Amino acid sequence: MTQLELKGVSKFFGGLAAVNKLDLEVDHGEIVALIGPNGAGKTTAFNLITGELGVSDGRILFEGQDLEGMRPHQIAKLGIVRTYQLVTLFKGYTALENILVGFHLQSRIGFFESLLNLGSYRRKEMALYREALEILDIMGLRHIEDELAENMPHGIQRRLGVAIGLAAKPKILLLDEPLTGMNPSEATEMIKTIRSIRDRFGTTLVVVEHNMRAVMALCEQIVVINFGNKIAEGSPKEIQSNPKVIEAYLGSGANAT
Amino acid sequence: MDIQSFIQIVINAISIGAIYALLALGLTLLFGIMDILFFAHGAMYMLGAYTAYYLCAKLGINYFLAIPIGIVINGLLGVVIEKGFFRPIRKDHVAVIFLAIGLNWFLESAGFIVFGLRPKPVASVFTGRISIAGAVISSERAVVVLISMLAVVGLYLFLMKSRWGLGMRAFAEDPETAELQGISNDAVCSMGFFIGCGLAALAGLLVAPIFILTPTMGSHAVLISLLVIGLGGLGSIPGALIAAFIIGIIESFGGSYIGADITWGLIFIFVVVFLMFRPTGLMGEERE
Amino acid sequence: MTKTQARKTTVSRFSREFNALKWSPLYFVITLLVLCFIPLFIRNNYSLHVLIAVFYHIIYVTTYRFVLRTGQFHFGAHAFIGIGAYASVLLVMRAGVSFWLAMPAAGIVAAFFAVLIGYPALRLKGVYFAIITWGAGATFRFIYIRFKEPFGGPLGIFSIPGPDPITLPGIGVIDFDEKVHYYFLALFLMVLTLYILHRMERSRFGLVFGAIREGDQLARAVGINIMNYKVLAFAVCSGLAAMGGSFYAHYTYYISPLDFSVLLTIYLAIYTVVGGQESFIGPIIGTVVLMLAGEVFAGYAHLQLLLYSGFLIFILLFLPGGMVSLPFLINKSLRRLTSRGKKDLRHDSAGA
Repeated sequence: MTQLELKGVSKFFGGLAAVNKLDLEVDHGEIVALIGPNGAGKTTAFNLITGELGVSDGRILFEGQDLEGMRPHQIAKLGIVRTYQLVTLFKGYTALENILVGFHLQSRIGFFESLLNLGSYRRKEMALYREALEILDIMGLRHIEDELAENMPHGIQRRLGVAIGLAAKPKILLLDEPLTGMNPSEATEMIKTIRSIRDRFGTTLVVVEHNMRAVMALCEQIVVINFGNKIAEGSPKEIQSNPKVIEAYLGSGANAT
Repeated sequence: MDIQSFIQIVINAISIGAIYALLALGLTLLFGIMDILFFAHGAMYMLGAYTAYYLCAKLGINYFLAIPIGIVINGLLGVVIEKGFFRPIRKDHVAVIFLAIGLNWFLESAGFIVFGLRPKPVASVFTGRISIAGAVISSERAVVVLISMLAVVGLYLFLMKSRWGLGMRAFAEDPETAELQGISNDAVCSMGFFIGCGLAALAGLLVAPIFILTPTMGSHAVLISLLVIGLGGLGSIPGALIAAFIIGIIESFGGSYIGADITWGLIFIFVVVFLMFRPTGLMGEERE
Repeated sequence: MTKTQARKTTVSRFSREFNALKWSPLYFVITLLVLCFIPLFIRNNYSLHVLIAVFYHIIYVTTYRFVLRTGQFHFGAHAFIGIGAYASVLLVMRAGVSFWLAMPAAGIVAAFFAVLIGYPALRLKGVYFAIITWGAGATFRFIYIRFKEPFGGPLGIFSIPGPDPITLPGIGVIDFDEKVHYYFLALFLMVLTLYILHRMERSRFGLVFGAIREGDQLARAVGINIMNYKVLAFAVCSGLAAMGGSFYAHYTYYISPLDFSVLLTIYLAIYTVVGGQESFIGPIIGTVVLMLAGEVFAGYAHLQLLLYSGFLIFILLFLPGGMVSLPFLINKSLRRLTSRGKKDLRHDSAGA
C-alpha cells in the first residue's frame, strides 16, 4: 500500500533543477534508500517532503493527502519526521530532555494544566518520562540520559538525533545520512538499531546514505538519483548490477560494492 | 505653496538627509563588520558634537581644522573601545548587543556629568546665506550637504576600490575565510570601528553649529539611525542612503506643513508597519 | 575550543548546575514570611516606597527576561507597561470601572496588542524585532503626547484614584490610604507573577521555549509551532507587565508619557543581565541589588545610570553569567586551589 508518493516533483533554483520530475513510491513499512553522488538532490528531496522547501512542480501525496502549502510543523503532525545531515540536536539539553521535546506531538498537555500543576499534568509528564527512558533503551542511550547533548561524541549524537525523530512517533522517518562519521562497528550497531525501529514500530524508513555496504544490507528498495533525476530503482541486487548506476558512481570514488 | 518655500524645504530635506546618511552609513559599516547594531553609535555622534564645542568655542580652533581633529579623536576612541571592550567577547552576539547598549548609556551619563546639564551652543562658522533659484539657505547647511556627500563618495571609493575596503568586505562575508586569506580580523575590526565612529563624529561635528547640543542627542540619533537602517535594510549601503533621504524628506515636509511631532509619529508608524510587511527593508539581504 | 566556546560552556554549565539545584520551597516560604513581616518593623514611608518599587520592577524584569529567553531582543517592554497604565487609568477614570476589574482588563488589552504586534514581528530575528518593538514604544508615546484627549498629552494624567476599597475576611475594610496597603498589594501581584512565570518555565512550556531557542529548525521538525509559542510567551509576559503598569499608575497617582520611555526597557535589560539572564532568580537579584544600591544616588539620575551601565559593562566582560554565578565561580576557584594536581575529568571531556 503506497504511503508516500512523489509525482513528477521538480524543484528549480533559478534555472537549475535540483530535483527534476522525480517519481517515487514508498509502501507502508518499507525501508527505502535514496542514493546518489554528492549534490544529486537527495537532501533537497527530503526538504521538499517535509515542507521546508516549496515544490516548483509536481505533487507530494502522503496517504492520499496532498502536502502542498503545508508548513513543516504541520507535516510533522501528519507523521513525517526527519533527521538532519548536520547533527541537529538541542545542544544545551540532556539526552532525556531532547527526547522529551521530541514527544511534543504526543503530549496533549494544556496551558492551564501546566500552569496550575494539576495532578493530571503530573501524571502525563510521568508517563512521558517513562516512555522517554524506553526510547533511550531502544537506542542504546540509556546510560547517558543525563549527559548534555553537546558533550557527546559524534556517533552518539547521531544516535540521539535518530532517537528524537523516533520520539515523535512518526509514520515515516526520513533519515539523512545517519551513518556519517561512524566507524564500521558503530555503523553495524546503527544499522541493527534502524532495522529494529521498523520491525518494532512498523515505521516506514527512507534513508539517504553514502555507505553502500550499509545500504545494501539494510534496505529493501533502492532509488538512485543523479542530477535530480531518478536513474534507477530496484532491489539491492538489481541496483548493484545496473550499468547506469555504476556509471553514475564512476569517478566519485564511492565504493559500489 | 510657492516655489521658493518648496525649494527651501527640499534643501532642508537634503541637509537633514545628509546627516542621517552619515549616521546610517557608519552604523551599517559597523553592522556589516560586527553583525550587531552598535548602539553606542549615538554616543559617538554626541561626542563628536561636543568635541566641536570644546575645540571651537572653548579653544578657539578653526572649525575646518576641528573637523579632522574631531574625527581622529573619536575614531581613535572607537578603536580603543573595540580593542578593550568588544574584542574579548566578539563572538558572543548576545553579549555584544548588551555591551553596545551599556556603552551608549554609560557615555551619555558621563556626558551629562562632564558636560553639564545646560545645552551648549556652538557658534555658527559660516554666516551668510546662499541663494539657489530664488530660495535662501544658510551656508551652514550647504556646507553640511557638501561635506557629507564628499564623505559618502569617499567611503564608497574606499570600500569598493581600495585594498583595505576589499578586506573589510571579505571579512563581512566570512571572517574565517578572510583570515585564511591573510586579512587580519583584528585589523579589520579596528579599522571598521575607526571609520564607523569617525563618521558618527563627523555627523556630530557638522551638526554642532546648527543645533543646540545636549547629551541626550545621542540616544535620539540612535533611534533615528535605527529607523533609517531598518527602512533601508540592514547591511545595505544604498538602502541606507535612500532611506536616509526618504526620512529626511518626510521630516522636512511634514515639519513645515503638519508639525514636527505628528511627523515623527507618522514616521515611526510608517517604518514599523513597513518592516512588518517587508522585514528586509527596502534593499536589505536576508540575514540570520 | 575557542575562548568564546569555553565562555559559553562555563555559563551554560553553571546555569545547569544552578537550575538543577533543588531549591527547597522552604527558602521561598521563609522569604515570603520575612517580606510579610517587614512592615511591622519598617514604618518609614520612604523605605516602604523603595520596597514597593522593587516589587513592581521585579514584575517588569521577570516578564522581560522571559521574552528574552524565547530568543528575541525585546526593546519595547515600556510600551506594554505604558498600555497597562493608560488603559487601566482610562477605564477607571472615564468608564467608572472598578480598579479590580480595570487591572486585569488592562492586562488583556496589552496582551491583545502584543499578539497584534507579535505575529508579524516575532517572525523576524534579533535586530528587526528590536527595531519594531522600540518603534512601537515610540509610537505609543507619540499617541499619548499628541492626543490630550483622552491621554492627557505631554503633561499626563493627574489625580489617579487608588484601588477601590475591598473587604478582606478577618481583616476588615482596606481602603488603600496607607502605604502598607499598597505594599501588600504589590507583594501579592509580584508573587502571582512569579508563580505564573515559574510554572511556565519549569513545565513542558519551558522545555519547548528552550528548544526553540536552541534549535528552531529541529523544533519545527518535531511538530512545534514556533510562532504560536513565541506569541503566547510574548502576550502573557506583556499582559503581566501591563498589570504591573496598572498598579504603578494607581499607586503613584500620576502618569505621563515620560514614565514609559525606552530608558525603562534599558534599565530592565541592565537588571536582567547584571543579575544573570540564564537563571530565573538572577534578574530578581539584579533588580534588588541595583535598585537598593541606586538609592545612594537617588535624585542624581545620571550618576545612577552611569553606575548601572558601568556595572553592565563590567559584568559582560568579566562575569557573563551575572551576579548569580559569582558564588559558583568562587566555589570553583577554591576547589581548584585546594585540589591542585588532581585532574578535573569534566574539563577534559568538554575540551575535546
